[in-house]
Amino acid sequence: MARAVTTRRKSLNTALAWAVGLLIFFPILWTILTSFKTEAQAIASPPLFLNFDWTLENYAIVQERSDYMRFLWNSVIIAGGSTILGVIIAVPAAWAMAFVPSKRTKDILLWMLSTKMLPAVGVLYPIYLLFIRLGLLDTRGGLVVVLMLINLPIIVWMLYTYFREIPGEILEAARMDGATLKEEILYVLTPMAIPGIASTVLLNFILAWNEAFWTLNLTAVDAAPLTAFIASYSSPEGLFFAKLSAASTMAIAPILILGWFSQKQLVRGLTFGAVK
Amino acid sequence: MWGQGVVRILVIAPFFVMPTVSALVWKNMFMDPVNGLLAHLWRFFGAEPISWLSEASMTSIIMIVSWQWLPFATLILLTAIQSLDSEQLEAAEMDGAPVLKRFYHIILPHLSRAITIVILIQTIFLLSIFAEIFVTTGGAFGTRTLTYLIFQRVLESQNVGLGSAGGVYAIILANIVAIFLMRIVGKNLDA
Repeated sequence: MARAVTTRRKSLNTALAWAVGLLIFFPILWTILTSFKTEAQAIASPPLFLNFDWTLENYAIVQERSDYMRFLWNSVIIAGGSTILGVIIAVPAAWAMAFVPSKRTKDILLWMLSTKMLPAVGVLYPIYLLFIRLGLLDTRGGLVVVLMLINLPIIVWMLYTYFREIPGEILEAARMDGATLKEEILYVLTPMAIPGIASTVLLNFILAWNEAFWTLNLTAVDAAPLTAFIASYSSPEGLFFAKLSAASTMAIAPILILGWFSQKQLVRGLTFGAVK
Repeated sequence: MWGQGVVRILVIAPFFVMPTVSALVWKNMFMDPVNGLLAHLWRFFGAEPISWLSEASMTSIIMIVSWQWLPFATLILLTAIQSLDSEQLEAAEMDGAPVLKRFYHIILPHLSRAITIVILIQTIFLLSIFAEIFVTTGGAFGTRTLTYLIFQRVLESQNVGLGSAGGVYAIILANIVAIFLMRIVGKNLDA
C-alpha cells in the first residue's frame, strides 16, 4: 500500500534510532575503548576517542595484581551452580503444574512468584545469621544455594510457561500409538522441552552472574565473584581509569555476548506473564 | 529499518552490565569532577563542572539506575507497540488526524497496560537497589535508601533489632506495589 511515508522520513527515523542507540550504548563503548589506553591517555584533556596508542597492558596488570581468574572462576561456579541446581528443582515442579494442573495450581504459582517481589533486604538478617551458624559465610556453596533460591521463582515460572506451550494432543497421539510413559518422556516431551529449558538456563545464568546484593554481603575474599571484585575498585584504584575499564570490560564481556541471545527471554522471565 | 537488530542490541546492552560495573564506570569515568567525561563536556560549553555524586547525589544515582533499567522498559514497550494494528493508524491518518493526536488517542491507550506494568515491576525491583549506592556514595550525601539503611544497621553496626524492623517496613512497602502486579499476573493466568 502506497503510504505517505516517504523515503526521507524513513531515513530520518532510522538515523534517529541509531543516534539514540549509540547514545545509550556509549558508556559501554567508552569503557571498552578506555581499557586499551594508557593511564595518561585515559585522562587526557580533551578526551581521546580513537586516536590513541592501543595497548593491552591494562589487562595484564589487572590479572597480575588482583588475580582476575580466581574471581571469574567464582562467578562461573556460583552462577552456573545456582542455575543448574535451580533447574533440577524447578523442572519437576513446573512439569507437574503444567501437565497435571489442579484447583490450587494457580495459587501455588502466584505464591511462588510473590516471593520474587519481596525485597531481598527483608531477609538479610535471617540469612546472614543462618550463614554464620552454618559456617557458610564466604563460601561458594552457600552463595550457590542463596542465588538458587532467589531465582527459583523465575525459573519455575519460565519453565511453566514453556511447558504449557507443548500441546497435549501430541501426548495423546503418542499414547494412542502405544508409547509407554518412559518413551513418552524420552522421545516426545524431552525434545520439545529442551529449547525452553535452554532459554531458562541462559537468562538465569545472566541474572545470577549480575546479582550484586547477596554476593556483596555474603562474601569477603574466598568466594568473591566478579561483582565484588569490581566493587573493590571503588577506591582508590577506581581513579585509574584504564585499569578500571579493563577490569570492567573483562567482567561484562561474557554476559554481553550471552545477553544478545537472551533478549527475548528477558521479557518472559521478568514480567511474570503480565505482558503477553 | 536498516540495522534494526543492531540498534536493538545497542539499546538492550546496559541491562546486561553488572550493577557494580555500571555504577563505578559512571561514578569515575563520567561523573568525576576533574577527569570525568561530563566534566569535559561542561568545560567545553564553558560551564563549571559539577561534582555529581556529592552535589547532585540523588540525581546522579537516578541517572545511573535509569540507564541500567531503560532497556527493560524499552523491551516491554516495544513488544506492546508491535502488537498495535497498523490499519488503525492508517485509518486515522486518512481521516486527517495529525501525528500528535494519533499518538495521544491510539498509541498511548494501546500502551497504557504495558506502561502500568513497567512502572509496577520496576518500582518493585528498584526499591531494593543496593550495589549502585554501595560503590558510589556508600549512603552518604542523603542517598541512604531503606535497603541501605538496613544493610548498615545489620552488617555494620550490628543493630539487629533496628535492621529487622526496617526489613518489615521494606516488605510492607514492596507489598503495596506488588498487590497490583499480582492482580494483573493472576488475571493473565486465567486467560
